[in-house]
Amino acid sequence: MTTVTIIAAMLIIGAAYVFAPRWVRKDILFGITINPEFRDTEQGRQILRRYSLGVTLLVIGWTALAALESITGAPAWVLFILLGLEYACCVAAYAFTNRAVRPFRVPQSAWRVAELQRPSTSLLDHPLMPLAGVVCLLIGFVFAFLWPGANGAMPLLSGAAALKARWDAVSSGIYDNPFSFGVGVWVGAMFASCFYRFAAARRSSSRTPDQRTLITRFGTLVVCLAGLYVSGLMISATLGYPPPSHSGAYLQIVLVAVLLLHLALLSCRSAGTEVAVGPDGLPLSDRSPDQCWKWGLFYSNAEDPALLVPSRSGPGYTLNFARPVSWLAAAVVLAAMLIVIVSH
Amino acid sequence: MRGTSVPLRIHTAGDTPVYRQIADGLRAHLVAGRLKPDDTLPTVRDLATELGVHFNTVAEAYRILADEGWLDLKRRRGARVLARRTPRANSGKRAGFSQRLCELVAAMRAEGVTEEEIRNELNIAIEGS
Repeated sequence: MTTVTIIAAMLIIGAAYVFAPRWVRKDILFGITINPEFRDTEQGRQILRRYSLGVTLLVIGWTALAALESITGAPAWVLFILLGLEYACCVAAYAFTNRAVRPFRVPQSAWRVAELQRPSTSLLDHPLMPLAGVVCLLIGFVFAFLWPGANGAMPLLSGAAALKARWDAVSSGIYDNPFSFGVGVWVGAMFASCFYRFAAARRSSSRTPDQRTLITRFGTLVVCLAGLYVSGLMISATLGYPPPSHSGAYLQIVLVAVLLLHLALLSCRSAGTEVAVGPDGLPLSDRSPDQCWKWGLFYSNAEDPALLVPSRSGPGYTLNFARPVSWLAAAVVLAAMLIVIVSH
Repeated sequence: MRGTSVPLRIHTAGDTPVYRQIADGLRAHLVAGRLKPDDTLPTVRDLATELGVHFNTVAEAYRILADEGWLDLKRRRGARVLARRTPRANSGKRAGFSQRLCELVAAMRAEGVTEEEIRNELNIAIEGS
């Protein structure tokens, strides 16, 4: 089941990296401010085409390798390393393309673009979309609680993977450890936050910033609590039936709980995703300069008090790496993941 | 729900005052029907933050459009597009527009834009609105 989860994660990461540049604002391409018409020029199309082709080939290559490794019976940690390498390659491809777009940068001080109405051709814009992440988590809970053999791919892949996991568990008699469940909950929460951001953006024109901040925070908190709730139930189920197969499982349970708590604290500690405004009515910090976005992906702005800011390269949020606490937050997540993988 | 985005572009280093650019840009969308009656525009604060300009600049643009009958301004709730009846342009206004158009065409020709290109641009502008 770990193989299915990791290969699915590889495909999702690949798809996200292929499509993200096409879904972001028209005046931003790979984190570089451009003339909105640039995308429709031959050069713009060529850059996008090459990037998409490159990432697609990378994803196919790493996924095929992971599938091959699983067939030959490689241990799970090898698959995790392949997943990490695939992610690193996608980031590298993005950063490389970011350099290719730099010559086409336009002065930011001159052109400004604002969206008066958000496009809403996708399902992500549906008013009920904030609930989608929570529903995903609940589906995961239902399958996990009713069939404890199921595991963490559920919040992400929903019922099909859960049924497959259940089948595996029944046929092998081995109960899967909660690690992948924790990852699933984590990824589910991340997805939920993405959905929420889309929905919040759609509503942004009809609410005041104060209302919007409140809704965003409340929504994030609900998602986090749902994640905690599901993982808590899963932990109960794990401890109750059947007992974990090895002592490392308890450590993993604790780490999963720590990760989710960490996410909840991050959302509460964040100074809000809104740009703070001074008494003169001018924004205190500007997130638009390209210099604030390293490789077009990572945000770093010492003047911005916010810890979590809407990502520029796609849906979801990113940390403000100019603040030391962000490095600490990232280190906690990475350390927890490493411990889980090592103890797996 | 809307199928396309409605972007507002301004050039902060241009000769035209920013509040005029915002008002003109919004009016172009309103005339073209890309912004329809009962649509809600971003609040003054939101739009100013997104464009990186002072709130008063956006507020002034909204006031101009409200005076023209395009918008209904509500405190802290943004601006709502109104169903506006197209007025009959009087001769004075017509003359003003003609004058501005002549000046614009002259400025374009002075910068080397050919007559054919000016015609094309005018056609695009008329079709777009």
